[in-house]
Amino acid sequence: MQPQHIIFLILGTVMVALLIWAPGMEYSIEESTLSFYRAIDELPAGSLVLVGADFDVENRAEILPQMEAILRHLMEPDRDLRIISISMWDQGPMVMDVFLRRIGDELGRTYGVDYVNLGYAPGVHTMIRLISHDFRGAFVRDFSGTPLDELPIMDEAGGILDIPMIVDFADRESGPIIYLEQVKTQNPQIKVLASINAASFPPLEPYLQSGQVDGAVVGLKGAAEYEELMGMEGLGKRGMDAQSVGQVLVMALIIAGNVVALIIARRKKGRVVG
Amino acid sequence: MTLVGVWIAALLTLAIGSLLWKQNPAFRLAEHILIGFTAGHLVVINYYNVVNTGIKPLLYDGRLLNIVPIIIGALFYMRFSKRFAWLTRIPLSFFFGISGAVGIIGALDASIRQQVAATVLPLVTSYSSPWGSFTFLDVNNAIIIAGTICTLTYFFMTKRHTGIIGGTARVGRYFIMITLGARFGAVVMSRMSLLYERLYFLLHDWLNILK
Repeated sequence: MQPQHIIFLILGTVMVALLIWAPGMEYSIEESTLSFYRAIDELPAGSLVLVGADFDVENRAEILPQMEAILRHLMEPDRDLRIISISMWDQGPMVMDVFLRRIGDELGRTYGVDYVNLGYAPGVHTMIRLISHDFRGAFVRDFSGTPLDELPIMDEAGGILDIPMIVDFADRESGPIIYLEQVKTQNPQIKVLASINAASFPPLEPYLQSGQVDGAVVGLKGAAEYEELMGMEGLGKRGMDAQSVGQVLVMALIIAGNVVALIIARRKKGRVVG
Repeated sequence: MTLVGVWIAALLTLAIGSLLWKQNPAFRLAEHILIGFTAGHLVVINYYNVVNTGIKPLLYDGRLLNIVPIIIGALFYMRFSKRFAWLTRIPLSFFFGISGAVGIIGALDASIRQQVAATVLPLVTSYSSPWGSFTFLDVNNAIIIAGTICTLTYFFMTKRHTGIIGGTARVGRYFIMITLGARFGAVVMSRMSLLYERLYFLLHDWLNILK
């Protein structure tokens, strides 16, 4: 057994133990998550919301718990917000479709009237520019193949510049940044909210600090925070124990590795001097 | 997910995870399946995209202008012919020209002007209390300003890094190292989430140990 096998074994054992035991560690709610939540809360009833599905399924661990909590917030029947979902990358729409339809059915929302999934269109920056004034610039049919003219929600949708809020589920910082560059620069009134995996958040943080991004839900912790705000139980809250202890373990291993390396280096130096 | 789906996903998860022990045929099989599915998905999505947004409107709705992007796009396939390979330069020129121009227009405002404006911050903050007014150095703002200037100096390559410029660039290097540390920490956090999700799936959906 190699040293790395021992590390993997310890890490796996600790995380499995915490998943079974689940002591329920406490955590605080970040200001960026609160801003995200409040922005949706303050949106007038009947407003349209653009939901971006800009992620690959490999990052589902963080994005799906976020989506579960945030889509439930967006689709609450008394809030009466209407959702148009699009994607700049190809894998997100199929996951988004499953989530929208399941939560929509549970909360009594109607496909084509209260929400629609237009799917993926290529072009990234150019595609977003194309739909500035009319979604039909890049989308002819929805994700299931229904022509846009047969979907009542699209009658009043206009283009992306007519929508007051963009909620982007992304596993790369370029997703929300493209919305800032191509949409918010044309209409600064539009709020851009980012629901993003932890690895992609550091490059986005300057945009949050400058106020260009109006709120951010970050990683599994962000999902747990949003579940707390929504008063629901989900994978985010459940994963906080395992994630926190796993991270402490990695920190301990980094420190231990450096201490051992230092000791070995000193011994070698001692031998050379001696 | 159906029972068959759960079993397939669980076995593929274990096959990929087996790499932690050593390279083996199960890992390579799962790896090839993943790459094949990803490539296949992209081909199908783009095929229907071209048919639905390009060819069908051209044939059935009379949108004759669609013929222009279809021909330009089709020129990409000329790379398979030695004689006509030069024609691929036409769609590439369109691609680089348009995507570059659209990207730069947005980036100039959101990622350059507004980000530079966000570093123009007051270095001192005033605080009023019943005992009088106090003025403090705003440490956060000072770090942002110093970090931006020092990091930009580090990337200033046309002047030798000696004297004041050298000192500033050295501080900039420390800021870059701290940034990379923060990014690494965030990546560790993300990878822990991935591990947690896979373990949860195995224990909850597959083995039914977790409730």
